[in-house]
Amino acid sequence: MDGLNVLGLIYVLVFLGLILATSFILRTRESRRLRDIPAFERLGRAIGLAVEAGSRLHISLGRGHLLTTQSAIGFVGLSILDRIARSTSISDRPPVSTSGEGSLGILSQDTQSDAAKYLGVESDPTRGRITGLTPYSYAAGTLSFIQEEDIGANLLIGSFGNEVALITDAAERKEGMTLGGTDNLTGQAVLFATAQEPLIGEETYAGGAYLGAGPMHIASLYAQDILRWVIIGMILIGAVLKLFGVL
Amino acid sequence: MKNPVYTAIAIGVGIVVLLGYFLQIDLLANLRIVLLEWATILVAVALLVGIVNLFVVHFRKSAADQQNRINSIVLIVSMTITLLVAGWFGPTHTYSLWIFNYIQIPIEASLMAILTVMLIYAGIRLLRRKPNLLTIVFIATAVIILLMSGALFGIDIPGLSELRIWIGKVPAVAGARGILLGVSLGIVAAGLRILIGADRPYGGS
Amino acid sequence: MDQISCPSCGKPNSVDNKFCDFCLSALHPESSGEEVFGAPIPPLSGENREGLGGHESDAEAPDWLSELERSKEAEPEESLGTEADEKLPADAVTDWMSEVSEEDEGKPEPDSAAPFLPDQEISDSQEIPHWLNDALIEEESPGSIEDEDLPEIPISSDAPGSSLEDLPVTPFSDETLGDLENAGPLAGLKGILSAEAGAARAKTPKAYSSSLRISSSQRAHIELLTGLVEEEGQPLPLPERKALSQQNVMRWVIGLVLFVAVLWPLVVSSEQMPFPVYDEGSSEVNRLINQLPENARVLVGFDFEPGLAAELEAAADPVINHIMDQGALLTLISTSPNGPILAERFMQSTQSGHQYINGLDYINLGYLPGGAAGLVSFLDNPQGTISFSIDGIPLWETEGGSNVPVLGDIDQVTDYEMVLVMVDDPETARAWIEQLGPRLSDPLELTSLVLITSAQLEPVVRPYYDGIPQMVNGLVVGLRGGAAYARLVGGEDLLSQYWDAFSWGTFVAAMLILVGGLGYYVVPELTRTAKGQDKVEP
Repeated sequence: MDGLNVLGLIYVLVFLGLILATSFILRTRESRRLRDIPAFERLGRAIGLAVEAGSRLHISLGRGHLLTTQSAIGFVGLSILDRIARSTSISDRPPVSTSGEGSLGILSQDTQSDAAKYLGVESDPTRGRITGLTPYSYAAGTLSFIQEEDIGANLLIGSFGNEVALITDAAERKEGMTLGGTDNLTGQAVLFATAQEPLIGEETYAGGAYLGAGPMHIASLYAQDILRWVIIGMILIGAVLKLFGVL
Repeated sequence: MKNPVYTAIAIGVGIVVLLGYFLQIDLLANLRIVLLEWATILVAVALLVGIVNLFVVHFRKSAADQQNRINSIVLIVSMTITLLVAGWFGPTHTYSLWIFNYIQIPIEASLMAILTVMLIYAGIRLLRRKPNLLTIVFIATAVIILLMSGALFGIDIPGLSELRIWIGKVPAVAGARGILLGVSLGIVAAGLRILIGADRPYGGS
Repeated sequence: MDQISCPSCGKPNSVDNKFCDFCLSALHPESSGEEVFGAPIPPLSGENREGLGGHESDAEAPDWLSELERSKEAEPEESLGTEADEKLPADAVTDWMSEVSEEDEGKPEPDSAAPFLPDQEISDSQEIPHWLNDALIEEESPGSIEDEDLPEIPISSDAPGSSLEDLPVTPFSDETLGDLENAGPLAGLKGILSAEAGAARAKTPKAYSSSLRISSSQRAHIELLTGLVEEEGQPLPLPERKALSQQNVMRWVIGLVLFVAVLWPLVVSSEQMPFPVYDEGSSEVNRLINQLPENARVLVGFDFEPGLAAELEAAADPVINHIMDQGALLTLISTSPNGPILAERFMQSTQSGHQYINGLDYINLGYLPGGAAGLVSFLDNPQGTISFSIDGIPLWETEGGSNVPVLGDIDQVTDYEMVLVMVDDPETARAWIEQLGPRLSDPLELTSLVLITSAQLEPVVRPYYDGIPQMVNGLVVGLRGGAAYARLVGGEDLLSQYWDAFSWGTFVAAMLILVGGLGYYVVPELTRTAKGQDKVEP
């Protein structure tokens, strides 16, 4: 076992320990304060308005491959889908999801059906749709879907490239609210310019915590914040040491 | 409550793959390879399931008396023809390549062209939508990179070429690294939530 | 305890009760209201409400009322939820929804509730509409309205109060029965028609108007209210969507300007734009290819989408040309479903001049599923991962190697002299670099990794090229990188067609964003300022 592997394993174990410790501490506290992310505040209101107006919510899960690092953002999207489906499935027009990858599509249907069972309402497999299996066919399928359905708010949480601009444009033409977050750098740059509420970097991964997906989401968010400051400190120390020729 | 068997399987497989990556133990490493191969096969099958799902959804839409059913009919017809041609002649045959060269590539290239228009349009409106310093930096960077990506009529504006290289090497890379670090933290957090069973994006309730 | 049944509803009651606990009917016929309550029940003023609800009045309240109050206190607040709420699981309402409802709870009751609380004083008349404020003042001093000011509104037979059922019923009493007859045969009786008095006072009865008298301001309020109610019932016409909105016009203009800018150089075959003089990454790729031995084996990854084929094929054309000129044998593979056919198209179109034969000079292994996991598997064990080429040719039938000459004795990825990946996606690029990098980190390892990427990937892949240790040995970024490479090796055919159009396109796009953005921001501001000045100036 080389040094890099040992460091990697230590990093994962420290992260795990931080999550568990934070969740234990948070259980004893009544208030769990999260820093303000305006996009999620507006999302809550947009969901409420969409449900009241009888329009649909659309959660786009992207085309993240489950065997790559893109799977993480796909799982975050599924957590948010699960949360929203459980909150709004009893409305006249339950939420729908679109995905551009086979396994993600299957999981989205499963999530929707699970939420429907939980609420004791009828499940409809077509609420979790696969609209295309390549980036542009996925975008083309999704934009025609947005145009056909009465979508009130669009949540684009998943792995998207620059093709996401096609989706945000279609949403804007339908005058629906668009919140977008992705792990893809190109996609982030495009979302910054085109989405009403873009999420930058790790903000996307905080979606579960802000939408109340469970205490573990909040605990992992705290652990992320702690480790982020540790990394920032290490980078600064490393830069200073390098500047003075120590490293 | 999700089915505890599914949860146990998910956690067990996750731990084996993770430890198999970090620890050089033959048993774990071999088990990890086997599990990854299974996953690869499942993902390939999921691709087929995706195609079937796409077909079924559009078949239902075309069968029902719905608006825009023509789109679904075109999709089903195109899918069937492509499947027959590529399946019968093979994907590298002239006929298959003809479909690819004269239908798929022009469509995707057209979507790219539309994308260009949309991104320019978004860039034009950005300052009005978000009038702040970050937006000004964003637009200025985009304009400099665009200008210096082409030949600019052979005009050499002093410092602009160096500025383009500096942006590409320093701020863009630094920003990308920062975002990727944040993203990687999120990836590890999401993976660990699944590994400890706190997040279960699989069925079986 | 002894019980008696209520004569009205039949439900059992304690024998001590004078009134039924359920329907409040008298249980004993001799009971009367005065015996129980002592006095008529006053109307529910604010004070009386407090008394009923307050604990200090429990001693004076009847038993059933006290019990009712106690049971209300004992009931948890959750029981007040609707049936739908009870059905929902506790966590079906998200925190953000709770926050919204908490915010609502914190807010004061809407003003519309005020008129329904008689004991609540209107504290701030400014919050009341002007016309309603007037009405309240008028109601406080009804005597101030002169009769002659009141126009008459005829009441139709449908109006409330016009039918007999709606009229108030007054019970008979001594006063209502009239005076005592004191003469004649009916002397001593009450309520009879007095013949003599009536005859003596016979005259036309005074005509009482059945019309409602209201003031002009009340009439105005009625009309306003009627208008509001009628408006609610009428559907509002939907705003007409313009066929060509300002946004659509802008999109069309941008599209047309770009189209002309890109098409014109292609139409006139313009080749005026100079190629870039030098690019560090492209020069490094050139050096690595020049060092390739004869019949070197090169693994080429085709990991891009058809939409970006124009950019990547043009950028890769001079590089692959150079590799084929060196006589290298190519293995083509892709982790994207579209990749294998893109590879075939590339070999049959742009590289057709090299006369490479499938299976002999190059082999297309097809699609490698599983993303990064599939890639790891292939890099470690190509023979165990892919068994057939895209054309169905079996690859590993010979003992210890391949029956296909291109593959020879390839056992792992480090058996290739070069790995070249054409990629447009950051995740795919990282997968190749991060999975292949550690396998090439050995200083004795001669395999080099070269990337040809879309321009959008430069920030992602640049650190791997500039970093120490270098994980990417050569880098060609976008058309600019390809053009720089073409200038180095002299293969400018394909790129020369595109370079002018590309240069014009990027220039026009930059100008559109710069000029259009400033115009879009400044013009409305100026218009607004001008309008504001117009308003200020009389």
